[in-house]
Amino acid sequence: MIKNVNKKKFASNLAISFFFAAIFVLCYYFLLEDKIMPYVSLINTTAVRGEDIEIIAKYNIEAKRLIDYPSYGSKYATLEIPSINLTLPVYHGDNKKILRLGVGHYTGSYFPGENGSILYAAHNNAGLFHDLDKIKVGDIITIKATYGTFKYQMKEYKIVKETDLSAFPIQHDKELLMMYTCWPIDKGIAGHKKERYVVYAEKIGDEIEKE
Amino acid sequence: MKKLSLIALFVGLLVLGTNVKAMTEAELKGKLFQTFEIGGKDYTLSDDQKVIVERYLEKNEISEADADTIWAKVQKALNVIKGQGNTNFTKYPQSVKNELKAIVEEISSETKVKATLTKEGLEVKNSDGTKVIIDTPVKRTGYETSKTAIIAGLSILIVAVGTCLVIKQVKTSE
Amino acid sequence: MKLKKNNIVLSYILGFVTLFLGVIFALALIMKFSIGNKHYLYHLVKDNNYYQTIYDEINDEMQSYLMSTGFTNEILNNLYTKDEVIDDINIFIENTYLGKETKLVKDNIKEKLDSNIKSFLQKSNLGVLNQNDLLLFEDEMVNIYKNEITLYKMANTFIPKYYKLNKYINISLVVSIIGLIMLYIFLRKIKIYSWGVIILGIGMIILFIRMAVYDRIDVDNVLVITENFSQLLRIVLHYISRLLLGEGIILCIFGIYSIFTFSIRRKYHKSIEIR
Repeated sequence: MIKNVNKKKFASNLAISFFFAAIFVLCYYFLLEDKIMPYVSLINTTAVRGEDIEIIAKYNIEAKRLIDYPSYGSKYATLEIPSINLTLPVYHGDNKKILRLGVGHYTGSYFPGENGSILYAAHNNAGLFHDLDKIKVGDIITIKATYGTFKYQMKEYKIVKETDLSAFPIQHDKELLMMYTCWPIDKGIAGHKKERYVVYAEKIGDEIEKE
Repeated sequence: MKKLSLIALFVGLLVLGTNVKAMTEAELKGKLFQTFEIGGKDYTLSDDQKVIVERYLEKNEISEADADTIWAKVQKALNVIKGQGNTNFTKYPQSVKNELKAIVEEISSETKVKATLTKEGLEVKNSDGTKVIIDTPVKRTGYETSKTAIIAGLSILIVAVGTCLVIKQVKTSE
Repeated sequence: MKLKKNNIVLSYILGFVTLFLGVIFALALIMKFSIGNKHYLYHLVKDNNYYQTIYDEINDEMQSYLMSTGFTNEILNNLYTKDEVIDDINIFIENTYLGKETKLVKDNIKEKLDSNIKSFLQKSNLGVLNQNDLLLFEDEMVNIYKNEITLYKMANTFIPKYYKLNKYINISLVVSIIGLIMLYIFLRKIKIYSWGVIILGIGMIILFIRMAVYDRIDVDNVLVITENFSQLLRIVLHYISRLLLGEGIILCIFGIYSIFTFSIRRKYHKSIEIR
């Protein structure tokens, strides 16, 4: 049977097939590629998943800026408030998962040592910011980050509406630590809390880790 | 009330899609942080968004390319938006939407940024593989349902260019 | 019979058109067996434990919300059942398939929550700030349930496009079948090559499309709206890729075989004539 194959016919038919396919491929590249590629790019743009990469923060003393920022969701510091006997882990980011673990650091604020506003949040449950309203003016707050230790002193507190963003000024010329939690804190009231208790503290000293 | 607008989109495009020489980074910031006037209202990045933009510029490799060309495209898009007098993209006529889409497509295929919208906010992947989630500054104990509803309205286009930054209306009297 | 030159040219042109329609048919068929198929979507969520995942996710999100409110998990008792979650997800799939937005009314959850809260408040000696805040809280909790089912309304921008896509798939199938039948009848008389030429061509193009589009997409890292939804999306894309690959390979093999047997037959018939 194989001997009876007309090789020329077989080859020519294969060639015609390849010819047809080649025309289609050329049509695709000249007519459709530009239309389809944005959709391919669109899908690839959303390809943000992947293994979480751990980055340890590095600090530039002269520039007063971090060189490497800690990964989102990673613990990069410990918050200590001796006056209320509180020690909590601080994470970069403040989504719901992080707030269940400890203190969340808002990504749109600066890091300790960067001479700007730092915004920390935590729930008002026992073991988190439950005793935030017991911090007094003058109390020392310490942030022990992987790149250095920073000390702050409480200056004032405010009770503000949750929508009042002016109470959380993000500025870059003075290091201001703002810590907030939902208010009222366990005052016999349950339900959706529409206010925030905010503690403001200014930096009084630091100790940078030498590499 | 916070609105997501196309200005934010294109400003973000320039930040995240452009390749500039390091020496013009200050110029770039100046351009990005300026106030845009559209339909009598002023738009600018909020302070926390500026922190995120600055951090992104520092964190991600920026190679040499023609920033002016990309800025020209952004200006072109801004002029189209200004012509509409508002930033409510969903209400634009189809021809305008197509015009904007064409500009976005010109830039988006060159954009190397990776970003997506999730229920938590805008998730951006940096060039070193780390990520950042951009959402609102003050956390509520519950859901930011208003935020997700707003985001949903522009989700496709936002994802297409890989970024979105919330712009607050700047009241000139404040 | 000597074929006229015009017929030869026509044979090639029509052959290419047949091939083009064949590609459309092959692609539309794959879509019809996957994203264009409601039953496939139901199987997808069932086989990948999506119902249980969403049920757990709702519970988790509600507990996260409770953290700063002073309420305990007690108020979540018997708020909703897994069957309810399954039914609502199925409603969402059905509506999405029909291009409609899903608006869930969950007054039952709100009423049950209200009852649980009242019992809790009585037992715990806690109060609420005011009735409006309590209603706000209850609405937020119900929204958690609704948002997890309906993908936070972010899918609303995609739903009309998905519906349009399904329409195009159906139209493409019908048009390509009719076109192929007509071209088969006409081409049969004038073609100078084997049908295998067209089949092999379709197979190669399917494989090319898979390479040109799918291989350029970073499927495993796609993340939109929620991780749970994205996982389903990834499974669908991988499934379509396997269908494209399988279909392409089968068509190529069948095409080559057809050409082979076509070549043999002609030689065989010629040898009979000579005898």
